[in-house]
Amino acid sequence: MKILLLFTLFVLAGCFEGNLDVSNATTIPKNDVGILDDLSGPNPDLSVEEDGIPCVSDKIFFENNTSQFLFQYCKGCHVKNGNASMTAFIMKTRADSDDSLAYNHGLFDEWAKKENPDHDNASPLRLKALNIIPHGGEKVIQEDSDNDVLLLEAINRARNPSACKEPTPAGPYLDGVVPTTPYAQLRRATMLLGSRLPTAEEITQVDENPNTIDGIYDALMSDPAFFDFLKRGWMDLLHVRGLESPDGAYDEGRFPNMSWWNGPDTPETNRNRLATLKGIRQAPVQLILHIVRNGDPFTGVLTADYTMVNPFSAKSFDVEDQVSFPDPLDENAFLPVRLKGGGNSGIPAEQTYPHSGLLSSSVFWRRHPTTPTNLNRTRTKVFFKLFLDVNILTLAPRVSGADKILGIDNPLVNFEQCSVCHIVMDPVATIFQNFNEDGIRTPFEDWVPLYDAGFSGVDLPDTRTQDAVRWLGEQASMDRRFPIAMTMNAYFILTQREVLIAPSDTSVAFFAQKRIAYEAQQKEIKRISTRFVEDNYNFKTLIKLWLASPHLNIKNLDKGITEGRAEEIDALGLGNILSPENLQRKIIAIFGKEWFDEYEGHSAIDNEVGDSLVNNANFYSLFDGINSRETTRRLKDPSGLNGAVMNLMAEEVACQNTAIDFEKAKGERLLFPFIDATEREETLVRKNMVYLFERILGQRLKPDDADITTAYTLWSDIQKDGEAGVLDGRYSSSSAVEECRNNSFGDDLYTMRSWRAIVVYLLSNYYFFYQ
Amino acid sequence: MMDRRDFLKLAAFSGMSVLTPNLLADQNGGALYTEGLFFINVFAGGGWDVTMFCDPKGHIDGGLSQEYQTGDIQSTGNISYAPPTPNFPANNNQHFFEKYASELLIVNGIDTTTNAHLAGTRYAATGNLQSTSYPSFAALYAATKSDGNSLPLGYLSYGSVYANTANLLPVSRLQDVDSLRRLVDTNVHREGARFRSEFSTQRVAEALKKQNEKQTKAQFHPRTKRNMATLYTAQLSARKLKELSRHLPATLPESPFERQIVLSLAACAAGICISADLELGGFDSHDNNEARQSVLLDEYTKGIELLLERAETLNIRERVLVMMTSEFSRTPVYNTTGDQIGKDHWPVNSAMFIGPGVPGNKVVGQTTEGHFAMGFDPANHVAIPYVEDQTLRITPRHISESLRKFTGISTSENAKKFALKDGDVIDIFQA
Repeated sequence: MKILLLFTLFVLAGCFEGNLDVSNATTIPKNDVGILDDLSGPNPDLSVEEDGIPCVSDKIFFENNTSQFLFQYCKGCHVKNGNASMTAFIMKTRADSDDSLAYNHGLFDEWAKKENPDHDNASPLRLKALNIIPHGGEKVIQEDSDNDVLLLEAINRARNPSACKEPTPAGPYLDGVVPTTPYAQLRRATMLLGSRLPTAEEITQVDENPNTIDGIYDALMSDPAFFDFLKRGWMDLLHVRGLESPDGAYDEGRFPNMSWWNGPDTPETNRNRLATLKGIRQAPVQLILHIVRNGDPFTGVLTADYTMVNPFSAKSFDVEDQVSFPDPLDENAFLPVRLKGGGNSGIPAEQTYPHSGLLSSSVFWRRHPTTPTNLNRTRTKVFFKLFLDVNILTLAPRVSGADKILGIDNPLVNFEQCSVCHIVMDPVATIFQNFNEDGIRTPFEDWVPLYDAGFSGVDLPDTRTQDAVRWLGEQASMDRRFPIAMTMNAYFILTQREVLIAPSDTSVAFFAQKRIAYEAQQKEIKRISTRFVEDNYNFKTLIKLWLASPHLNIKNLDKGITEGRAEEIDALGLGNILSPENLQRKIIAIFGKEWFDEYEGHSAIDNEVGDSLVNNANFYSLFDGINSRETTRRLKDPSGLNGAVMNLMAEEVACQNTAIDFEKAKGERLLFPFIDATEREETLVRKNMVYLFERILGQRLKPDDADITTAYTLWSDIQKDGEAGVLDGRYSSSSAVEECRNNSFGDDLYTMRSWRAIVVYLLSNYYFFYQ
Repeated sequence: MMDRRDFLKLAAFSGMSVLTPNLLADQNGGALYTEGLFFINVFAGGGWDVTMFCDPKGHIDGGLSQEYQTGDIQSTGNISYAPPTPNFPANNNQHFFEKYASELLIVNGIDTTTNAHLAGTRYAATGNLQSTSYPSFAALYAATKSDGNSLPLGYLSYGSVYANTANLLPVSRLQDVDSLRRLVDTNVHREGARFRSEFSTQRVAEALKKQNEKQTKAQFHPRTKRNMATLYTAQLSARKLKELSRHLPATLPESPFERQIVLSLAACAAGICISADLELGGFDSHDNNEARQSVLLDEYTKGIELLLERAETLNIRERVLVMMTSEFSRTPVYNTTGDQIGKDHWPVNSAMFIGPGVPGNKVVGQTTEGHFAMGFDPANHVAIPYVEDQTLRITPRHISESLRKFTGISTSENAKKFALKDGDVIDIFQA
């Protein structure tokens, strides 16, 4: 019977979705093209039932089937504050606790084992669900229905535990992994965190002692470029860049000086306006940078008793008396301040605003607006996802019995199909009524009563209604899910990928292997988050530990593997394509200048990152840049459209940088320090080729390496054809770089144009675009 | 030059499907999509109110529509629709339904069984509520009908539409046409001069091909190997953007929604796109339901009209299958009283289709007066009263299954790989 159930009942699974599922359905090609010739490799330790159906452990069955059943039919009432909260069967939700699954499994099993002698020793769980014994929620399932069969199976598993085990890998999880070299780790770190190539000293240091990379990480994370990196990463999480008019986030009745910059239409007025908007828009992310820069506990994102201003927004908030900027015109300088009460804030003038990190940031919440009927539920969703890794929208993906809603008074509370989510969401949403989106206090008496205000099963104390948001920040920052969520956010910032989610469909191919992948990643997340807490919530620790993690340092495998093993390790590695912002920074690091759009007179691909929606860069959106408004997610895989941007970039950057580099003294050249422009001697050409491979691709090769030989042959073929072409008139005798709006250089021997082809070749390589 | 064999290899490396007869070789030895259906899904993001559109109900105590009575409901042929109202006279319903009724297939009473945006969006796109890893139908279709990445814009997706491709092919966003014009031939500089000689271009292309083969052969880490293949294929297929230049209009509409339509159809006409998920968002009318839905439905139907007319102009009208739906609908009752009354999420939904072979002037499925989904008898293809655990209801799974069958991909390897659960079949396209 159990086997049949596996076929029929999986339709009810699907509770634990949420983050982007990067484990999805990836089928690694078999060896039809000779790649995976060696299909040896470890297989997971999987029990298999008689007819070949994977054996599902009780834990997995509960998570994927029973738990979903409970969500659908029981959790609307049998939770704290639910209509059945007076009963002894009270479950936890993921929003209450990070151990809700284990707790509920134990609770369910306890009740499943109870026997009612008046009904053939049946469990009261089933008797209640069928309303055979009195049930406040009456009959919630039909006898012999699919749901009844599922419940029976779940009860049977509690009474007679299955022998099926959790899937485990056949050997060490990282078996066969060839790790990234220390040099590659160094180059990746300097590019990511410092937007630069490693120095000769750093390379020597790591070559001689790989363990010194830890100190290099520390040094990199003190550099201003690191905070630029961090800002870009958090901008992709907070999306405040998508806010059109940040000054509208504040009420002029509270801050009469908000538009201090108003005046005649002059460049100065415009500068003041834009700089003020930058100050307001960037306040949330600058608060994060301030915490990290100071080495303060990262819990400050929820509890900091200040906000950030630049010299311009300081005027808007009338807090110039609190700050002293070395350069009063530096719009990129930010300092902490405490906003004042008074005006129409609802706060006495002698008191300061009760800041609570991002939770009290009007500009942040303006990006996630509410309505008179949404009542802060959108904000609650953002709060849970960003700070606690709880996706409210996935708590109960399936509803049934919607037909019964008519006639129910206040269905959000009294109809289990609605209350199952709202009982989690609304206590926090209620708290966000503390201050409205203009930062004006709403008296407790005027709050729209939803559920009792609270968080994670704890009611808001009566004494904290005036600063309820701060109370929420205090609670959430101490929650065990907070460091987990921050560890995941750090992973996202580094990889642009969300972490794996638990596979929910046990019938899909390679379920066991997907589960192994998920469990392995979870274990690493917990390891890193524990260190984060031990290190007093220092966010730099997260970055450093992830960069050093074996999960993100994989160069290759030592042999081909099975499809199943591929599923287990697919998420390993950094392996993400450069964003337009990172592509531009890499170009600058290598060539000393950006990919410049000669015709438009500005950057070709880099937007004004982290500042505004102004998008001058023609190829930013075509290379999957996001504007944090219509587009908030970066795409994973390049399409032909992105391919075209890459092709154009390679041509233009090569054109803009090759010939002109020869004009510099050899010691100042970035690309050709070892040769003259007319050099054709093979040894020297190879020497410079080796240099370019390392500079552009990070590959350290010998002059006689096969890849260098391939590149040399390419250079030589083009040079010979070109030299002959110049002689017979097919080609110009100049380097023809006028297309790039550079000066024209004599190139009778066609050597410069041959080098340009080599630069295009290298700029088209996988190892240039992927980090 | 890229040949068919190269494409097949790359498709295999990157987990993509294989070349189909719908694709004809282009000048680079690749392929363009010159025959077969285009699938365009126009998604009303946020949850539309179908009682103000294709499943009209009129006013009842406490709910449905405040704006009109049951007797005001209009119809043309077999199709009923919500009327213009005094408050919202600009309602485009009458014009839209009168114009397209003969071609329209409407499915009412779809039981989405979810009130969650993400789950509803995913279910509508894939036919699978449970799994987060299934590809959208548009992705599945494009991957099956093409050789995946060989078309530079094979699958277009906009907004917050569920766009998981399950690694079958990449997804593209196409928004900026001015810059796009500079990408149609990246060997040529803007002023017409070539960046490099034909010989240089050719030799570098050959070297890149060899380099990619070598790198992918030496790489055993699955994702890295897949990334290598995907990147190289993207660089190769970029050449086909040349085809797009012939179909781009001189100027694009200001409206982002209309721009999605025009650009997607240009890509289809150029043979470099097979499917697209378009979106008009903002339907999540928890407040001000009537006004918001009226304005958006007006924009939505005008967009559909633009889509069909533009397809006509581009001579691809007979190849365009349009799907119109949302993640769910709005509650029969209002969530508050006053001027800003809204409607919340409601799992009973509708979908509409126009395209070659779609039975027009037809409504499949039904809802009750209170907008609850009725049951459906698949044998007689009629709505019947719903009895829990005894009768079927139409679900997004049935819609996806029907689409797979209608478009001829239900027996493909991709469809098998992402099979929908066994169960009763309701073919919504049954004549």
